[in-house]
Amino acid sequence: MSAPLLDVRNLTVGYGDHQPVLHDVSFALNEGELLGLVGMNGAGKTTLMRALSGGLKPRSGEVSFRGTRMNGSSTAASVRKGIVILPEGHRVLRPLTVEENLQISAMRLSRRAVRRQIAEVQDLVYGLFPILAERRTQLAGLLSGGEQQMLSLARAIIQRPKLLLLDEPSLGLAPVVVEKIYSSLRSLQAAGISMLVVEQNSDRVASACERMIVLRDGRIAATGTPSSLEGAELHAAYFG
Amino acid sequence: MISLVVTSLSQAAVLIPLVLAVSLVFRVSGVVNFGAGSFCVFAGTACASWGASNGAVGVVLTIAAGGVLGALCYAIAIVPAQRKGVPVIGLTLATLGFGLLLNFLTRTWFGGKPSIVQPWIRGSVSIGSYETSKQRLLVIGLSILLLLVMWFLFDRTLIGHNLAAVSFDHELAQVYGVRTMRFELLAWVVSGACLVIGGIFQASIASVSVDVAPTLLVLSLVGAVIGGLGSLFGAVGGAVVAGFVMTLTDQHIAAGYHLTSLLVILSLVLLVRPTGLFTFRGTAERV
Amino acid sequence: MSIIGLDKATGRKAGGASHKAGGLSQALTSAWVKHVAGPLVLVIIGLIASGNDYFVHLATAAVIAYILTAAFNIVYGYAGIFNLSIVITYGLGAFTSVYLEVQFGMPFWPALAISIAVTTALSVLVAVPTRGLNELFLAIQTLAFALALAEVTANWEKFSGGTIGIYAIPLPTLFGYELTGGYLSYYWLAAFFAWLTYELVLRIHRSAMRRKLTALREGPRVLAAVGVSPDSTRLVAFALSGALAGLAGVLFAHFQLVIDLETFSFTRLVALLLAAILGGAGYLLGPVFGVIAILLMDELSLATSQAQDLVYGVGILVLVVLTRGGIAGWLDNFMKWIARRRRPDSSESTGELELDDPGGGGDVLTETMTRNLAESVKAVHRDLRVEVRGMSVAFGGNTAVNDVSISFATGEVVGLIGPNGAGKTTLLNAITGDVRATGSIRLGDEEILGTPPQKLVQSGIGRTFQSPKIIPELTLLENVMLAGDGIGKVGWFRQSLLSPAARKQAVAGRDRAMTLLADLALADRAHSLAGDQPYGVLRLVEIARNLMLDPAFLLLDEPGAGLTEFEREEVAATVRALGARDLGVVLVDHNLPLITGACDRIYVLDHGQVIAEGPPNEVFGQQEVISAYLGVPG
Repeated sequence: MSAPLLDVRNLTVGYGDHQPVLHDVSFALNEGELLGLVGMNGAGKTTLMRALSGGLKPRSGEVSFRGTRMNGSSTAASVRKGIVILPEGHRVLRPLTVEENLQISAMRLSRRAVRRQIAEVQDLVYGLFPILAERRTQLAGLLSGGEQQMLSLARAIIQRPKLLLLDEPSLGLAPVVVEKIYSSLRSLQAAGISMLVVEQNSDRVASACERMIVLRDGRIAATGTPSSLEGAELHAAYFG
Repeated sequence: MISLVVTSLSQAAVLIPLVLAVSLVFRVSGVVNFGAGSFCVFAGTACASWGASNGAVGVVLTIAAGGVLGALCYAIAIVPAQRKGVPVIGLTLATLGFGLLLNFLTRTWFGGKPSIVQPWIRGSVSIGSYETSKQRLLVIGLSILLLLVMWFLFDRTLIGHNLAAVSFDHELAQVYGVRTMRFELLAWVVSGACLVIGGIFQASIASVSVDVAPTLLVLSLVGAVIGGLGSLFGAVGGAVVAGFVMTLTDQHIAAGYHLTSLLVILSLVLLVRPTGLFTFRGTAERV
Repeated sequence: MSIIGLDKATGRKAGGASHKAGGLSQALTSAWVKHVAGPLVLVIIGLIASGNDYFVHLATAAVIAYILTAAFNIVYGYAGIFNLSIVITYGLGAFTSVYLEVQFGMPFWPALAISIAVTTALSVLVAVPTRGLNELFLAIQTLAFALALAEVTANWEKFSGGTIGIYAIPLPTLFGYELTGGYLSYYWLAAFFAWLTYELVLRIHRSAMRRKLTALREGPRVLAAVGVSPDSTRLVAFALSGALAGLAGVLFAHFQLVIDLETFSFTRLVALLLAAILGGAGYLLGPVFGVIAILLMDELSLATSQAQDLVYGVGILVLVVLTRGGIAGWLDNFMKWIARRRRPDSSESTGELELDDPGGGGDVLTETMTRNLAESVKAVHRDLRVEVRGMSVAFGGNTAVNDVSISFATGEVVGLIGPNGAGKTTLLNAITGDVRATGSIRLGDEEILGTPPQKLVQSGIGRTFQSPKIIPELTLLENVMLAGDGIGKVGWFRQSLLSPAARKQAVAGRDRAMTLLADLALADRAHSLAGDQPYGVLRLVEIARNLMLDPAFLLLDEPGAGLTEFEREEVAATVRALGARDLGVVLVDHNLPLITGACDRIYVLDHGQVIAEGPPNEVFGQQEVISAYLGVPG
């Protein structure tokens, strides 16, 4: 088997002078895999996501992506290398229209280049979320939460990710929308994009992923396939 | 009446570039530029000196210098302090320090005396019974033109959208792949150029000297706050209001008390509508 | 402890150094030294300068500048209010006194008193419309105020002499003896007032007033959390600085004997800002260093106005980036470094909390805690109940809390749990008046919905915050004492002057605070800066601060977040101990061991609604609760 796409070794992360939030976390994510990451709030899931996406510098340990060391590169640089994140709470550029949101995510300043880049994935994006085509000229701030999450996902697709980090993609959304989001994740996986999906709601991820990590108190409490992590064992890992 | 309108508009015409500049860096870097007055004064004197033989050369050189100074201000006063995690008020002080350096340059290079930029068109026109210089009208026109250019930049171009993204949320802009530092720098360059244009306007219809730097600073800050510091075109609205308030006071209420009446308006606005008179949901965040 | 008074936050009360007798006498000596050093230095300067007109002039200018800088240091350094109208206040003091003397023939002394009254009133006037503005807007507003007032003054020619200024300034007399500005006799007058100023600032520094002002700087919520009104504290800061600035102005006018508006311009403001920040904002001796530094800078560049801009500009840019705390801060750090080198063993412990018996299990810990807290937590309010009925909170279109009814009584520990975004913290904020809510909250028979936070604290409901609202620049002891500063009968005036009554109250407060800290096993850290302490300690200090006010209820917002397992156990033990002492505790957290270990009863929230209620073990058996977290149906 070839080297993993993302290799995290002994990662310790914290804020300021405080106690680290993540202690010595190690795991690997293979090419094409959809890896689930679950845990209570406060377990360190979002911190891990921020550390992987370049928003937060690790105290020690190593993150390597496609064989290169990623420690300390900014978020924008990480995006350009292919690690794209969907932050928690469907955050979009609210003062801009849907179309403008998508244009910015193309990361170019020439209209023509932007158009070309968007056209390449247009079928995929509008095929998955026809509503976005309808709402093209609307301000993103006026979309519903679900539509904003779809816009987030569309934005991520345009950024041509190798690895997509999703932080609680179902949080605060209606079940129908969640269903929609998860079904599109499967199409993305089919299109060759690897994913790390964080959820508090483990059931949601369990049905979508092949392998799952349970995080508790900043440490990995359990790893395994969803079926191996059912029932009492999961409870124990989850609640401590 | 016509006199009131023309004078007010010409006051506003000078303030418009200034409030655009102040509001722009506030949105992108969260800093209020307390060196704004010094930028204007530098511009007025520089333009008068460099343009002594050829006005156009002076203007072009000065605007270029304004951009460079904006970038310098960002590089010297803002970036090192941001890296150190200095709070906003510290950054504001740093811009004040940069302004003092500019004052020093203005004094050493051009002397500290009041300077006048020769009007680009001579003569005067009369509207009804009111007579005014053509230059004054030209400045009003140019200011409106600048406004249009800025509107186009921010509303229609990808650069503008990127700037909007950065000022909305730095972290999220990074997630979108925007290299935020570059756009922040760009905002300072544009802001420097705008401040300089305001200074040239002022010097071409009145005069500037180092002593008026604080007044110009306060006028631009107050104008921007009245209209809405967080919104470019809200701030422009504030500049127009400020222009009218000052002229109205000078012509009809009590000559020589325009700053006082401006303060009254400012206090009222801050009490009643602290986000500014012309900020509305939807537009406020956009430009 | 530094003898030279470099202390910003480590400054402490007489006898505050330690509760050991030796420390007490040492601290008394040091306080005594501080009170004597000021006048002594002023006398020495006078003696050295006498005989040389230039030095006398310089010395007089310096002591007046000290008074002005000290005024700014109170409002900006201590209270963190970037008030740019201070220089015009200073000018107004000068013009008012001269106006009264010239126009009405008033003698110097009454004119001085009236001028100070005028500038104090003016300063308060500036404070009122700037209430609630953030610091940038406040800076803009006060700067605009300064320019507008300068405009008005310039137009009032009788008052200011217009652009020419005022020349014929009468000389102050003392027992028939004329004090001419620039002569040694006038230096003594200025030095006398500088001494008074220093004494006042020193007293403020050592009193409850400094703690309140520092808390104001860190954010009004901290003050409200201890039942002190942020607004009136703010007014006091403005008034004090206005009075001192006016005093400086009067002295300046009679020193120069010629004044014009130009003197009180923007340039003077810049010099003042530089002096305050260069010297060290918020330090007792900051203004002294600042004035000396500016004087040196002015002398070196020989006061050509061109070079002045350069020197000041570079000075500000370098200062902003390189230092925090200016010269005083730098010296303070230096002294600390020396002290640490001399006594390496006393290096501050920042590790985990240490108890006498860390090996003991949770129950032992609780028992110890309960015993410890027994004496200091007086169970004064008994049998009280808070009833929350039909409470809803909406942000925009989002309903964060939807028709929630809960109740809790004294003597029980109630947990509030739920997945992310369930509305736990919002519910807490709604109860404490931090967010707007609809519905009803009754404390006993009283409706308390909409009570401002500082009032709520006074009626017996205290709270802590997700990230502890502790003032990093005060010691742990001072942080706890802060809660006692707002409740006594001694008002701000006597507090600032450190009157005997204020002193007595402060000593009582300190003893109580010390006892509370000792009970929470924090006695050995009481004099360390809060900023250097680990999270777990700050959590406990926040609880101790609340206990100072003898609350009936304590609402704890995620007390376990960011703690190590051991620290969390300690928090849990403390919470149980509080419940045993008849307090009502509401605990929001998502650490289940903490919740199950500490709570008698829990409410589970999901999507803004209560989905389960009961004793922890029962509730965690319920399927809805598990599926709210895990989403596992059936």
